[in-house]
Amino acid sequence: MKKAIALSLFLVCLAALPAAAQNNLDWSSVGSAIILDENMISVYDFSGPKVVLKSNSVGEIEGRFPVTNTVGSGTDLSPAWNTLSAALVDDHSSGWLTITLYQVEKCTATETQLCQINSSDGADDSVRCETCEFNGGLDFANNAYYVHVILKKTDVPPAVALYELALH
Amino acid sequence: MRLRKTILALLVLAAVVPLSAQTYDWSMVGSTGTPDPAALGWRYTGPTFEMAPTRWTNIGLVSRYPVTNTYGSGIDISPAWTTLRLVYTDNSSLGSVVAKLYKVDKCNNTQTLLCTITSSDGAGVQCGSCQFSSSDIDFANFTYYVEGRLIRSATSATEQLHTVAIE
Repeated sequence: MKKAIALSLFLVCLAALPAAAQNNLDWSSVGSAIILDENMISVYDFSGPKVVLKSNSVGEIEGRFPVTNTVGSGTDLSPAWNTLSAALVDDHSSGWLTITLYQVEKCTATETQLCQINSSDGADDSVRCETCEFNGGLDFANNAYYVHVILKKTDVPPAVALYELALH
Repeated sequence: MRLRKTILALLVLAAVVPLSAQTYDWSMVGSTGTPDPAALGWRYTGPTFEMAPTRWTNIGLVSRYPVTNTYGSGIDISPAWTTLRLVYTDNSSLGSVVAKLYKVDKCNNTQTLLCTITSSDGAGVQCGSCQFSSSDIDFANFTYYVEGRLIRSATSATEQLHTVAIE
């Protein structure tokens, strides 16, 4: 009986936890949905969810992802998100990704950087998650948001790819 | 006593006015639109959609912004939105920034223009808006998008689209 009560209490507590606290993704986008700048030279490929710099190329691409309130403003206009995460590949010091979350104020268009991921060099070309954190949640009532991404290689060897972005 | 009751009733009414009537709901920055394939010479800088320095066109460069139900269809599939907003820069009579909200019928593809904002000349970043009927918003039966257009007849004109939003 005690076990049943304890289990029930645990389940009730779990259900009461906000989604953010459970580390679930909330807003997300695959890397291949990137909106690239004009005249990006053809150093990249899209494959399934990923945008990747070609293995035999050197160069960089720059693009953006629009962020929307996936909690739903009918529920919460200011979701308590505090983490930007990226599933990426970077296995060499001569290649990297820079991923930045920006907030743009509604009438002045003033831009504020909320957090930035500068990818570290992984041991191999396997996909991993890197994150950055910010304070205060987001305020969709008074701002628009986007994620700016740069993928860059200054030499041929690195594997550089972005599979997914998420906020939670 | 009556006055007190009236004030109290007004306060209660003000409290229940939905947030969507006062604030952004759906929004996208200018640099996250989908440029039209014919829009040669566009440039994205920070949040901004603009023309390359040497580019001018009287027809205009177009980028489109898909509108989703950010209110949440689990709460309301027809949010009471009534206002399209445009944040822009337009410092010259030789150019303009235009935003149009369209709805597209789900099966026959009929497109209806709901409202249009045309920029005014002025210094710095400005905010423009246009109104439409909340009865036009029905995500169960229509798809929505905003068309942003930059026009200028001289490269001296600064025409920039920073943000589009609906509330």
